[in-house]
Amino acid sequence: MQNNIEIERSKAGQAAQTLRVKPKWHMTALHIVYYVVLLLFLVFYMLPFWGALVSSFKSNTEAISTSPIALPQQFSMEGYSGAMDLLAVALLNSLVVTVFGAAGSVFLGSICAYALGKWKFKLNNVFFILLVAATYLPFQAILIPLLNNITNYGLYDNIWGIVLAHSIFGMPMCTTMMRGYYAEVPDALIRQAMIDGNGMWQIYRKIVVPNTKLATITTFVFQCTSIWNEMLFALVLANQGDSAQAPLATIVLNSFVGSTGVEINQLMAGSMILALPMLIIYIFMGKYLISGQMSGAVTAS
Amino acid sequence: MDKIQLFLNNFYKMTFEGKGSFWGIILAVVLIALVYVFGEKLRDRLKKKSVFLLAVPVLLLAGFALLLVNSCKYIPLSERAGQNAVTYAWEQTTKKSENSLVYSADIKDPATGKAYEQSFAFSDILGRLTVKETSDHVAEEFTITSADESSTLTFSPDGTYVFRTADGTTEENGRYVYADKSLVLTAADGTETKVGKTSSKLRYTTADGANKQEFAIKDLKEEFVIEETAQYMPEAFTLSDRDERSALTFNPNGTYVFRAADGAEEKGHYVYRGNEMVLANAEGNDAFGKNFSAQTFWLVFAIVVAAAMVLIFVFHKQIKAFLNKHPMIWLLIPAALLIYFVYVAIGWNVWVSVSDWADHSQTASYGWGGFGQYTKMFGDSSFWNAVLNTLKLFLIIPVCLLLGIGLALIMDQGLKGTPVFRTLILLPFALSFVVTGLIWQQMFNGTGGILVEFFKLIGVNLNINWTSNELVMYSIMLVMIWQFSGYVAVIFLAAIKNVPTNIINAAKLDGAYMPRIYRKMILPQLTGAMGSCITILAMYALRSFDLIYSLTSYTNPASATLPIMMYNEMYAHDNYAYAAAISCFLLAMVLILILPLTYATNRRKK
Repeated sequence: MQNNIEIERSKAGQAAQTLRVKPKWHMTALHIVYYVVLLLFLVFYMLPFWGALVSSFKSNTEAISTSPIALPQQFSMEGYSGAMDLLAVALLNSLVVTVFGAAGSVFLGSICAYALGKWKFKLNNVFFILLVAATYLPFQAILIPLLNNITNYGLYDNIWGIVLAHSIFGMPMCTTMMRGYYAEVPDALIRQAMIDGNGMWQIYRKIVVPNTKLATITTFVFQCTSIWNEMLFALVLANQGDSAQAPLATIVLNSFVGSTGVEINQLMAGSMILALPMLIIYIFMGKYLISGQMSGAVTAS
Repeated sequence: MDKIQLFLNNFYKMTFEGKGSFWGIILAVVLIALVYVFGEKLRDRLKKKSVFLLAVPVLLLAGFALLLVNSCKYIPLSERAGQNAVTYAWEQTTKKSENSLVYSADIKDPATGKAYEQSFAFSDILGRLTVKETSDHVAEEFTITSADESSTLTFSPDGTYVFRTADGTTEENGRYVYADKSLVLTAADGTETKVGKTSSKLRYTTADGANKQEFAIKDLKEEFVIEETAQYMPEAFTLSDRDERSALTFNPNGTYVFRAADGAEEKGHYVYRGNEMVLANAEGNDAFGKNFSAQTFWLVFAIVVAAAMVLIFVFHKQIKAFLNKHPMIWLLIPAALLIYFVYVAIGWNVWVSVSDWADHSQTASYGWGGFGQYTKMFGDSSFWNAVLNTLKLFLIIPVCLLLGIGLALIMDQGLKGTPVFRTLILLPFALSFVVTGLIWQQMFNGTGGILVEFFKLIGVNLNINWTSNELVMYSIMLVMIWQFSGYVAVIFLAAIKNVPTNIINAAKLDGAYMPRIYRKMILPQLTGAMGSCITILAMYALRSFDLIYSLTSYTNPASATLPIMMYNEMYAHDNYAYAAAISCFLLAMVLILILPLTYATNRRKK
């Protein structure tokens, strides 16, 4: 992946940079200042996580009575079991929506990206501009028609309706991301395949897709994170409350707040459960996701 | 395990028991694709006289037709007892949960002589019956009966309730009142039962613990819900309209009686089918004419699909040649989706904003209504407040950029532990806005909140009401900065690292000092990343919905941004045309603010 912006500099480059500057006393002092600044910001970024994590492991009575940042005197999984009880169905629904929605949008986006990135055709630019402009669309501007459409298809309060919406509205972002990746498939390879008598879609199947597996996975994971975290479609396209057939995790978690039966430790545990998959993804794939998004933004503009 | 069972049940229901239109179309596409892909092989086989293979498409088609016919839920007249006279119509309104039964025969109001409509709100009748009430107490005496009819809970308009339990005891003189989104029952002895917004079950257990009963009461301010799962009502059930002049009674034997306000009476049969309730009166008119049209539609559709399959089968070679000649034809599918769901929808939305869709109504109406919504919008102080709030959120852009560049520069110093720090500051960005909102609610909590306790730890007594009307927007900005600045820093770090090292080394050889290198060589390289960051942050500011929804509430005018206000108008007030006008303004704001930004970054890069 050529477009992939390297976050780590190579060891040699790092050495070349640091070798020249001799560690003088004022540099050491400066480094201490830097560490202090970093530490302060680390506290700023991590304090909410800490509070949530600690509270989620407390029992209910302890969560109410003790300071929310003090360590639990007694580790308790009460909150997690309670939250799981309330969230289980919603999590499964969210999983289905995430996987199918991401698959749909990546599929549509990859077709568009391939055609736009590798081929020239009439209205090429018009189509591309329409796609890129759609990435900036505020969803409120199409909410009423979308609701009407989904209701008319009989897909209201149905996970497939939400999957459909995500597939379509994820397509522009996927296209811009994948177009960046597809730019790295050498044109020579494609020309060679054409000489061998392959058509446009055979090349797509045989050359472009197998050569950009990593890119596809990155786009898929990126799309998964945004669909899993999303709330507006889940809120508008499905019933809420007890009668909901397709409650998604974000909505159910949010409904914890007003309800009397849910305790603070369950609330925090639920937040942690919802956040955990995304945290893991960002810890291990964060830089790929960001560089993918940025390369998309770069090709988009 | 039972949770998984529940999920699977719902999943099955959603996937296979829907209206069929979605899956009908998908199935049609799959069938056509199958014929296209395997058509050639099939022809070869057929030439070898293995005709039985023809049975495959025929069987598929038959199954398809069967599925379609099944999916339109046609109920034979013999099953419906009555026939004719279409006086009821289900109104499929925009919110599905609000199916209402509208009676619009020529009833005259006896007092004024004016014709009027009556509506009974049902929602998903097999599951539940809903009677909408918006007053503080119930408008007329209202009784909830448990399914086995052994106990009742009666609410009176004067604010008292009577609870007759299964073991024969009667609890009287209790008072009920709607508090904010919950119903509070106070028994005569002072015990309080609170029925919260989502904890919808009011449980009653007899003294010996033998008899447990549940009443489902959901958000009583809005509606009463009686859960019923039988095919017919277990007991006689009467729906009255607010002024009690007409009533619709369902009997357990499957008949209904409708007494209109003018005294006319109508008898008929009812039956639940799926999520629909079918009413057929004694004269024998079908109340559900649209079932027939649905069936006709599906038959025509099946015939068209079959014809398409045959055509593809016959002209396989020509079609393939055509597609090879015009490979871009496949692009029509995503293009059509994009154009319909984005651009046609935008036009549709604009049309809604100038349509005569009535306020406080979910019934769509698309006549010309003039620009009244826009004049209302521009004269609305809460609208301008929302615009101001939305623009305030743009303040996060400079803060995030400054923090981002600062942190990125520090992280570039080759300090130990930088990779860990980079991973950690990216974590807030991974969170869902809902999770962020919930956690920061705990942060901002006045008593025992995380922030208060933390500052107590370092000896500062923090006394800030974060969610007060003056501060709430700034609190939201703080949360957004928390969530995005780490992300911006990582982007900047990537851009800094992208500056080729050999240029920097050359500069060092020339004797340049590091701060000078940063100022002259590295920072100018960041404009591209900065442009992208500004665009992304501006989009988050303009789309700020989820965070505010979960952090404060969409009904709080102090924290209303344009998306929030639009949602509020749409859902809380059912002002669809007004909501559309607001979203049009939001779209215009995006066009005015974002497009020049993208254009500028684009030009700079060239």
